[in-house]
Formats: sequence, structure tokens, C-alpha cells
Amino acid sequence: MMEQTDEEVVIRVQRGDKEFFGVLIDRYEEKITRYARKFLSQYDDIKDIVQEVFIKAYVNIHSFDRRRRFSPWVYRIAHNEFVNALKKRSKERIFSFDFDTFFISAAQDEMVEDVVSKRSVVRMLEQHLGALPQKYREPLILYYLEGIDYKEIADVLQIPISTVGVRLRRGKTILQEAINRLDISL
Amino acid sequence: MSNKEEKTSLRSRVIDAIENRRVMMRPRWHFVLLFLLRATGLVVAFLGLLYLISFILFVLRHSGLLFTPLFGFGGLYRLLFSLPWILVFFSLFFLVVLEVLVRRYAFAYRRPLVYSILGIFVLVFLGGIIVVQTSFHSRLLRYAREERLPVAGFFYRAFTGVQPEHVFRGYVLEKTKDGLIIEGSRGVRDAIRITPQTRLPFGGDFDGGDVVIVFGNRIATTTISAIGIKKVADDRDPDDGSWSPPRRRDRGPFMK
Repeated sequence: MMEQTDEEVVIRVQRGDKEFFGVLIDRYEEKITRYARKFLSQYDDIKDIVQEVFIKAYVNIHSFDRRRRFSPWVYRIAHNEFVNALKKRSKERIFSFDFDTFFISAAQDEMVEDVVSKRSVVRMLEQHLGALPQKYREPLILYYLEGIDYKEIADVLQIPISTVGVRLRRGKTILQEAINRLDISL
Repeated sequence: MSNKEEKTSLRSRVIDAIENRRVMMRPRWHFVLLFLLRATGLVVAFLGLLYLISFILFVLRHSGLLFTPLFGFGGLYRLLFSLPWILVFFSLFFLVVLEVLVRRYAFAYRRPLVYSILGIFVLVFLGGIIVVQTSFHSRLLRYAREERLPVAGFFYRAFTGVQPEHVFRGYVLEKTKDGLIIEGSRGVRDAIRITPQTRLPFGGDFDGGDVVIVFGNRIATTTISAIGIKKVADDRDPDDGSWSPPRRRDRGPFMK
């Protein structure tokens, strides 16, 4: 039998087959946990936060629009939950508005990036993620580590698609500068 | 705990909470209601903004200020100086509310903020122009003057009651050798002096009964030196008897 898509599974859950929600947990637990570990690296209650993400997803499952993809929807819930966790416990300022969402920026297309370059960014990210400000950290995690495309990142973060490109490019530059500084000091 | 055990534990905790009804799905109607509330908020904010923009345009046209930029920088300065800024600030507030409500939808947040703000502005501005072409505001103004508009009456009387400085509106009574005689509201007559420097952006061919906007300086009690004159449409409510120029068929014999 062909495996059901996420969206088909959600429809079954919405119709009352509650046990099918377990299928969604199986498919997304690892991804959301990895995302949480990168996003909230300094916290030790990540498991509780991830559990809260799935509970919120279940409680609000009827708000899922069947015409859209499930993945950005659940990542959006995770994003909101992580931001709330940061707001509660961190002194770091969480921006809800940024000027880079206001203006029209030239298309910043990273899609043509070759595999080698992508791998090197992933390596840099794994080692130096903490050097990045919050607003650049998230698009880089979603794009390079979670493999989510521009449009879906825009849906998760609810920012313009062009801003996703801008933040990816600036994030990579900041990361590279941080690594260069580290090399010099060594 | 191994990775597999950890995974099973999270899954079983969530499923256990669901099965024991410690966690309940919100019903579909909850989201339908939420959607309807948001949609209502959006419509109310849009109509509020549309009303304000059309009212600003109406007030500016009523006073003649809308046309003063045609007479050069002095006219533009007069417009900016006399704008109903309180209404402009309220409009900006409604614009922000509308933007916040619209921003929840993918068609808005996937594009830069400037696009949706401009989109909303263009939409309400065009809507405002359409509303101002109708007799909606002039009828409400008439009701306000007749004390038949309980809440908004004050609003209409306050914003249309004061004629801005240097801007005069009236209908042409007579042509004279150096200008015109116009009659404004409450039957006040003024002699308009036209000089070679007077700007007539759409020509100086005025007929009796034409409604004109004069931008200029009062140089004597009943004499105005015109910086610019423009013929405008007689767009007031036909039932409004507060200031009614004669229709073309009613013109006196002295009018050409």
C-alpha cells in the first residue's frame, strides 16, 4: 500500500482517527527536535518544548488548511513555541518587526548554490551557530539543516520571500566573518 | 535513554494525553468563528479607512484646498498647512490596523511590507475618489446642517465650517473689466482682480453661474487679488439650499 502523505494523515486525524496523530509525531519528532536543539541550544528542557509543539498541533489541527502543506504549518507552530520559550527565559531581544521585511530587495537566490558550498555552510553552521544573531540563525537552520525551501521558510517565519534570501546571505557572511576572526585569534 | 526510547516516550506521552482526554482538539467551529471575527475586523477597518479618506477628499474639495496645488508652490504650501491632520493621523492608524490584519495572510506576508501598504493605500484612495463622486458626504453634510445627524453631525459641521485662509469659493455673478464678481456662501460678494500674474490653469473663459475656486489675497474688504482661479464642478447636494448658484437656465440677463 502506498504511504499516505502528511496532508492525508491530517485529514484522517481531523475526521476523528486520533491514533493517526502518532504517524505525524513519528515523521516530525526528529526534525522538530533537531530544529529545537539548534534554536534553543542553551536550554535543557527541549523535550518538554517539543512535546508542547505536538500538543499545540493536535489542539489546533482543525485550523490546518488542507490545500496547503503540513510541514510549514507544523514548523510555524514550533517557531512560535520556541520564540515564546526564548521570550520567557532569555534577555536577548526577540524582534517581531524588522526593516528588512519592509523594503523591496533584489532577489537573493541561493538555489543555484552548488552541493560543495552547501556542505561547507552546513559544517560552519554545526560548529558556529551561536555566533549568529537570532534573526539570521533561524532561516539558516531551516534552509541548510532542515532542507526547507524559500517559500516554505517565508510561511514558517511569515516574512517576505525576498527577505528569506537576504537573511540567508547576510547570515552566511556573518558566519564567515566570525570564523575568520576565530582563525586570526588562533 | 537511547534515541529510540526517547522517541517512543514522547510519542506515547502525547498519544496518552490525547486518549485520556487531557488534551482536546479545538472544534472546527472555533476556527470558523475566529476567521469570521478576523474577516469582520478587516471589513470594518477597511470601511473605516475608506470613509476617512473619502471624507478628507470631500472636505478638501468642499473648501477648494484640493485645487490650490494647481496654482504653484504657494498653493501646495496652503494645502499642506491646512490639511485636516487629525483625520490624516486617524487614517494612518486605520492603515496600520488593516496592515496588521492583512499581514496574517500568505499573499501579504510573502511580499515586502511596502507592497501591501501601498496596495491598501491605492485601493482605499481609489475607493475614496469613487465615494466622493457620489452625493454620500454632501447629503450627510446637509443632514448635519439640519441637525438631523446625531453623532457625526458635529464632525461634518466642524470640518466644513471653516474656510481656509486665502481660498475662496463662489459662483460667478458678473465679469468686470479687471476680473469677476463672485458670490460665496451666505451671499457674500467679492470682486476678484485678475492680473497678468494670475494663474488660470484651465483657461480664463468664465461664464455667469460657473463655480470657481479663487486662491489669492484679500486686499480690501470686498476685493481679492487672485493668484489663481479654477472653474470647478458644481458638486454639492442639489437639495442643499445653504449656497446655491443659479443653474445655467436661471442666469440673469447680464450673464453671457
